[in-house]
Amino acid sequence: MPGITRLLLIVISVLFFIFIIQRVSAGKLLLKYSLLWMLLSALVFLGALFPQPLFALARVCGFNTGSNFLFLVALFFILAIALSLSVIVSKQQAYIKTLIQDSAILRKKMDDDSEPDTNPTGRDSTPNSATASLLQEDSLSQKAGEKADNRS
Amino acid sequence: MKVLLIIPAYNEEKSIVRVVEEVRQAGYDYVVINDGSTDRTCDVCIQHEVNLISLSRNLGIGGAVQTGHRYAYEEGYDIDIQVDGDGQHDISFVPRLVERVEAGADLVIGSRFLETSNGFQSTSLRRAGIRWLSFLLRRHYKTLVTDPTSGFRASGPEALKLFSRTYPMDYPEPESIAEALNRGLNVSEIPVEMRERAEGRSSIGPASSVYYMIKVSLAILIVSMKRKSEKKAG
Repeated sequence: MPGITRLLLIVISVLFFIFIIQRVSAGKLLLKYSLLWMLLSALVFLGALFPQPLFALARVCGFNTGSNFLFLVALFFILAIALSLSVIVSKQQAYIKTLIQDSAILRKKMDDDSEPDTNPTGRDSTPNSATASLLQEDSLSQKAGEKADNRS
Repeated sequence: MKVLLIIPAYNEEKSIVRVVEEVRQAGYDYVVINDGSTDRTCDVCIQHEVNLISLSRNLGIGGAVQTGHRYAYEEGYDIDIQVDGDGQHDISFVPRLVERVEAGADLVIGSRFLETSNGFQSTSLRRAGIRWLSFLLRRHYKTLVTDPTSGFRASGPEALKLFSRTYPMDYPEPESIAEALNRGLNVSEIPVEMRERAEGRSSIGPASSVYYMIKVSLAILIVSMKRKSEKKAG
């Protein structure tokens, strides 16, 4: 690998590492989600600094060129990060579901408590203006949200 | 035992009031779960003073029904019964569902296929899919469930507690049966007749049917694998 390429890689990986650290300290990126990215920049840094072991490993694995080997490793790395994102999204979806349910049940209980004389099944209950305004507001904001979605 | 009817409703503005009126006349406690409908379902319910829990966003049938289970659990109900908001389910079968729970079943499914009837039994292609899911459940749990996709079902105290904690998100009906069987709950069926829906369409269109079958089959397999690994560990 020519010296200029190595120098370039070293500079890029160091800048990337600093960028990651900055994001973490600015509170824009959680430390636990930054670890894979830090590992990536550390590997690029080490690979640029000491390329010989990398190329030796590529030959042992039967790759014609060292770059092919690097591409494959990089691809696996990106897949690992993408998978971890899917895991995170799934967990967040479960949390959000619970929160939406919580808020709906809480709102229901608030409405029931503000009208202690009606029976909790809502049979024969009088119209509840508080509920009405709350829910109408809600459906309005939802429609607004959909419009925003369509626009994007 | 205290019984609550859970009525999930997503964009059912035309049928929800009729369903609720029917339930009121029969004298059951009920709660309608508005699953973030984009039509006037919510307004219509408020107009008619329906006992309503309104989700601010659409969670899908699983998330909506689980809200009902949680509400039933927190309000101290012993049995909850899921009834569709589109009027497909005939609530005159509710006493029989309750009877079966009181006789000791934890989860009672209202099945269209237990007795030959004149009621609505879906298209032949869908029936083939239903038979396949039924076969999967029988293979893994040695339990015959003839109508695993039925949304007309009663949960006793144990099932109610389980479902208020964990309930599958989308296409939950067959998967929740597998979950219940996994925990060693007693699942049984009673024959019911269903009506063809008057308004609205099935939540599963033709394009997503293949996706539905793959997803639900996989879900049952994964749930049954969970049981085996738990058995090994325990």
